[in-house]
Amino acid sequence: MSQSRELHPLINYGLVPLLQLVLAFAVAGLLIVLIGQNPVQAVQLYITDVLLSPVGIGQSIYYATTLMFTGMAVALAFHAGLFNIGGEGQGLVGGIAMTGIALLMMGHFTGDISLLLPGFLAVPILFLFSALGGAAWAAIPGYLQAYRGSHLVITTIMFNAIAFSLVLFLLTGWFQNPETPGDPKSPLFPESWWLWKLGDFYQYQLIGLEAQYQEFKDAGLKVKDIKAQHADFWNERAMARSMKNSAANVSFLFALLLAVGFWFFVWRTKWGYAIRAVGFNQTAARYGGVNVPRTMVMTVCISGALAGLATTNIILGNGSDSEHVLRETGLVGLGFVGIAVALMGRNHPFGIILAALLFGSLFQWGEVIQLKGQFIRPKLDIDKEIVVALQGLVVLFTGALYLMVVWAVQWFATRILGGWGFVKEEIGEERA
Amino acid sequence: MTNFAIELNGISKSFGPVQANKDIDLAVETGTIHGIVGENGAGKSTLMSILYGFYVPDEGSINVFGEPLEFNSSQKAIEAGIGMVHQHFMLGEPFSVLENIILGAEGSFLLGGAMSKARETLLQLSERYGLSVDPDAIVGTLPVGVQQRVEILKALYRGAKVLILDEPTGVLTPQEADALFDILRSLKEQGTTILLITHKLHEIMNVTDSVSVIRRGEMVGHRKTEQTSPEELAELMVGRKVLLEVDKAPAQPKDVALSVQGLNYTDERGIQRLSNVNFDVRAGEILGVAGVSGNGQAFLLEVLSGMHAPSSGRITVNGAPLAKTPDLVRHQSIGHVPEDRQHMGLVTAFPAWESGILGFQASALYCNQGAMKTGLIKEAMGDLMEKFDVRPPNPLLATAKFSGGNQQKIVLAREIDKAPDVLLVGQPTRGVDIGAIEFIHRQIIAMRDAGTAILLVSVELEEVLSLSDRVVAMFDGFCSPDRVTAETDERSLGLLMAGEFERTTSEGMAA
Repeated sequence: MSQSRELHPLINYGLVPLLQLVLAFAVAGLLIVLIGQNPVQAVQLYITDVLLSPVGIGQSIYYATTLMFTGMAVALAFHAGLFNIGGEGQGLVGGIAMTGIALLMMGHFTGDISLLLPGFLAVPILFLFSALGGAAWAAIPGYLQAYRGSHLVITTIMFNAIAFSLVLFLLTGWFQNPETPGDPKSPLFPESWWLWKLGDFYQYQLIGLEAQYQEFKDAGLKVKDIKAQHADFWNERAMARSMKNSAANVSFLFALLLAVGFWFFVWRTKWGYAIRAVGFNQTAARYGGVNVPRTMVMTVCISGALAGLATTNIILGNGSDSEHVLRETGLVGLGFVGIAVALMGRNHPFGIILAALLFGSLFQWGEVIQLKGQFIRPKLDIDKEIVVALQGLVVLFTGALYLMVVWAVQWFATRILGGWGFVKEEIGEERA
Repeated sequence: MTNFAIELNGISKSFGPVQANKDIDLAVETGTIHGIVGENGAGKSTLMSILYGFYVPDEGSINVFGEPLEFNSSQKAIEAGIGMVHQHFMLGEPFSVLENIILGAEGSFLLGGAMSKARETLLQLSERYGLSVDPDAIVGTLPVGVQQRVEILKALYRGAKVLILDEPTGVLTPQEADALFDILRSLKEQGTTILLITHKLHEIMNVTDSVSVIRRGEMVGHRKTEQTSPEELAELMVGRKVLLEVDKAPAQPKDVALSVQGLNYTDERGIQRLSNVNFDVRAGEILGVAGVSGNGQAFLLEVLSGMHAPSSGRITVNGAPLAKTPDLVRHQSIGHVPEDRQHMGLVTAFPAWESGILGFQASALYCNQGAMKTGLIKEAMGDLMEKFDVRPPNPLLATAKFSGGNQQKIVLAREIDKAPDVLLVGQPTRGVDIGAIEFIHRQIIAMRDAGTAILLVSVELEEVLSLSDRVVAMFDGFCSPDRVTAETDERSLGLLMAGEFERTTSEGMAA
């Protein structure tokens, strides 16, 4: 006889994550208080400039797109019982593969531009190569795990380091933009390959900069005075004005489609069945005719492909016109945040979409705090790294301390509500 | 002072909404052997865990020799004189007998004093109860029956006057079990009180003075053993009349369906697990494989189902060599009900409908171009669960939520439904309750009568004897010559299980 410990799905998937978030925010708020700033102001910025502003929403979606790819990458491997934390490296190598084929088409190596395909042909090829690159980079750790027992966590971490070195080597050599020696980046991808933007949102910087501009004007400065006395400000404002679009682009829709495909693949195909069987119980999987090592390698490869695809959003979908290039920063840490997204999304694509949007908005919040905090009164002096701390707290409460909240809710449901909130017990009768 | 060693008064224990023990009264007379029987999940283990201080009951009290027992402390239970011999021994295998005995009772940080004191006490105990054990033997090298003796000595060394034994014969040969019962009787004569938890009714009848039956967390009966019968106890356990005998017609064996010749298997660590195994199974008969657990039966099933490649030997299925992977073996019409349903036969985290197609997930029956026919599978599983009386017949429920017997029925339903030519069955009724055992046995007999060749591996001797048409025994990876079941009995099979047969390797060398 065992007790039903299963909470009602609405509580388990709704209330529990919500409580975890509230806890994470509460502790983050405490941190803000500790550094002598006002958490209420920070939250106000989150509401006005992220949740309620078109730019904020657009940028959040842009970050969320990357996170959906990397989150699904982590989640897929997780269904096979594998922990792929090499999303960052796989994204980089996906970017390398994509940039390699792009530079070939652009005639970077040969000077021959006859291969410069129009966007509708080139973009699918670029997507394909980013996926292949990520898959290839994941294949080696996957093989080592499945056939040699080398732990995937260790090998993928090491492969991240190798990928960072590899991309720097390429960006200071074969892939180097000849016009910017000393700045390790690839040549700019042609404009026809850039992904369509979802909206015509203004960049967030512009708001702050325009406010500052207004202050200068109010103080009686003329345009040429501002140009002369505040050159940095002027350049920054000009750049911001040029970035009229927020970066959210069609790869968000692609990621949404992929999430549906992810669900179908994992829960509705024999391959997904095999993956989950391996994840839950390798002996049973083997008994059930599943080739366990091969399934593991395949899963890690698809996981790597998803991480590789994330790079398309960053290079082809970038919000800044001059940034449609490969850089050594790769997924800018979003590969790692994918772990948190998968964790919070409970490895289900629907949960991952929600978690990615949340984390994407947090990322945007960090930018807003850093850039706009200076211009509001009283001044909000917090580094955007507060978001990293907040993410850490979210991971802590949704991951490491997940059961703490569950237990608390269970205790509350059992003791205070008298068993309300649990799924009704349905255990097999012993009669034949 | 009463003459009761243990008195439980109104013990109740709930885990959330589930009541594991409900108002249980139990009085065990000093110096008797008292049996406790009940189906799996009836609450026996919970009750014993409360007695041994692992759980605190919600209500009720316990007296040990008239003194109230403080709950939630095994230390207090030990001090009160309660000793427990677990089903799975709690022994350090690389340690000597003496070291195991003093483990946790060393006294000081220097071992010397405790060791010499323990040696003396051990000698006294051995003499007094006739429990002969070499104190310097390494436990891992001792036979299972002797290891169990060490467990008993361990409890006695700590001053146990009440000994609880949890399913003590599960790992023993009939001869070893008899030796254990002799020990228990001599302990009783010396005044020790014994609580014997078991699901084997013949053991209750054989050794106990009185018996209590638990059903669904409640005590449903206390009987003097001499005034009851196995039939009455079975009825009390299940709540209705149960047929203990298996009813079957004589077998009609046809052609050889599964043939094993000179099979050897050495595992990846280089340990020889199967040595020169030879037997044939004909269509329409059941070949039983008896043996104490761990003598190679598990490896035999895994080799025959394609999960391990044999090192040498010839295995044929309907004349064709055995395929090399579990997947291909299934295509040869071999069904496999594994020994361990929880770790092999089912993915307990899957809903029943997914567990119910394990091994067939890629077959055209359930799968079209890689996409699973979800609706069809759920419907088919629902029907199958009705047919095999799986309770509840809900294909959406997680496999782990079904009781052991119903999980086993899911595995059997899956394998039997495909009507294989050969069925490998391991421990079909392990951890399954009497009511479900009856049903499972009937299904296996029905398969045989339908012309399936069945290889039945079981550590339950009664089961092997009542189901099989012919029987072999396994010992240390060797397989005995076959006997016709009708012409053999528990004694002579017990000798085979203990290795009393001529063992030759494939090269013809005597082992």
